[in-house]
Amino acid sequence: MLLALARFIDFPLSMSMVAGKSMEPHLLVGDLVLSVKGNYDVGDVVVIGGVNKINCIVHRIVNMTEEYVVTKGDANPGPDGPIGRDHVLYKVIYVIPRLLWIPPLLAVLLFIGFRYLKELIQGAEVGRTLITVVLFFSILDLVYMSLIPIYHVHQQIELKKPNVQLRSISISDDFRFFTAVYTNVEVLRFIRVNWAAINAAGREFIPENVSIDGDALVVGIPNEVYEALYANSSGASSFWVYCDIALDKGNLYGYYPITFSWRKLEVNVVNNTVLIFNPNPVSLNASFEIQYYDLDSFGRLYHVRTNKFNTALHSLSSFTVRPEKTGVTCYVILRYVLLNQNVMESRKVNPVGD
Amino acid sequence: MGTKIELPSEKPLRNWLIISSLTAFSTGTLFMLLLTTPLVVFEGNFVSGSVAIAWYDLRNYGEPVYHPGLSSIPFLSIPAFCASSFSILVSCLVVYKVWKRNTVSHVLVEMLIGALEVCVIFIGVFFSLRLDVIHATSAIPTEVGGVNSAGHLVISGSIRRETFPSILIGQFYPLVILGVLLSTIALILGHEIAKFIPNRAEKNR
Repeated sequence: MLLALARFIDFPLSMSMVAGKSMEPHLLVGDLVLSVKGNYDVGDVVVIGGVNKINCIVHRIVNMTEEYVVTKGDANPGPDGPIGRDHVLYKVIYVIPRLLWIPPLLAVLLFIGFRYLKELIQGAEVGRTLITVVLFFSILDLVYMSLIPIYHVHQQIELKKPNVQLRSISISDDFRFFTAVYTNVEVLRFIRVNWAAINAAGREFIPENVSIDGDALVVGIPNEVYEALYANSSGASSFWVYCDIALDKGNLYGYYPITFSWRKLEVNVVNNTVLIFNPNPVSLNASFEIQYYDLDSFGRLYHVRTNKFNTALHSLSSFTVRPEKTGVTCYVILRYVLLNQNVMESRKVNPVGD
Repeated sequence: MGTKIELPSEKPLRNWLIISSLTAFSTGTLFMLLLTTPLVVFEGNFVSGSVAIAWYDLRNYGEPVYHPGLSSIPFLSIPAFCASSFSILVSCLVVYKVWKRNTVSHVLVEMLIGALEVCVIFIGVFFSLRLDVIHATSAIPTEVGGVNSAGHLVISGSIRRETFPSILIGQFYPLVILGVLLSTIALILGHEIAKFIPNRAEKNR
């Protein structure tokens, strides 16, 4: 009894009964642990007192600093939170297995109890039975309260929580699709996309093609989005993709910003041909001038003629300008407007023609 | 060793014996119910199930949850189980004796008074056990979802609800009233049998 009450009265030796499964297989429910005050180290099993010393833990030390101790139940998936060293009450030195003490104790108690009960029933002094009954239950409860270390009831338990995180967002090289790739998808499953919308330049667009591909959201981006952005842009452009994805356990509302830059036309001369590539998601109108030059009898360049034409350079497509076989050289001058700014590109092509 | 004193089952002792027995039986049954009926119920997909003092069955998305704290609390309820069973058993025995034989031994009556007193003591134990259950269950998360890089995850969590037995144990006044009632009945019964015991003891001699 004294040992059982030890943790309340700061006795050097204590005895507790294991009441949880957190230390299995080292400690089983019903095992008695004898513990002493003294030094402890990592790997030792210790008795830890809570705010009130009724709630105690018998766990193993897995880490230790000068101020804190981290404990863990052998059968628990993770460690307990760090606690101050002053909460460590005792170090377990000996374990009495439950099979060693419960059956003999029960046998002795039954034997004594039976004899005592027989005496009581046959006839006892007035008041003895009453005192016996009250004392028996009071002591039984006190022993239980003091002997059993209850696992700290405030401890957070590990539960499977639905989770999903975003790994990346991108738009395809052809600007046609937005893709959001999710990661750490735990305890949930994507079902469908309830709705999706694109907000660009203050307008809302409803994409036609929206789908879930594994753990990725794929949204088709209509041309109108880029046209609206181009009309309102003066530099880099952004748009937002909104979505409501139905999950098997709820919904995911995503708001994903996408930023991209408008780029100048790529103009290159390859094999006497001028190749113009429009890397933007919108068509651009361009005007071309092809100025032909030849040499006179004194070897001086003179302007022969100029061809002019206008054309639309489609999104992500190339346009080829192949000058005629006139003169010795020619200049291909390209003019277009990008984001309200006039841009001129000039390339010399020499020699000319097939 | 003393001798067994058979008390006559006459009015008003007979009435008080029956009242005491019924009170002890009701209290014992109430204690049994409080031990076994859920004090806290979780509703929802995230965490569902019930938690009583003597047992718990919690599921996290259908999978059983092991809670170290809740697993330990049933051990503390063993004395309460014993006390409740004792009260029920003794009260039944007393009623049987009173109805069938018209006499009842002082040992049995003392046991009945003891059972009533034990019930008074265990009211406090129930209050403490209920607090353990409430503390343990309040540490169980009920909300999931939130905002992270993927967006706003809206997942229906669970609702933690205390049942009527928990509210009943948690109230101070009903327990005090019950305690006072049990003590009073025990005192009256003690007073009633005290009238007979000296006479009967002399007769037995």
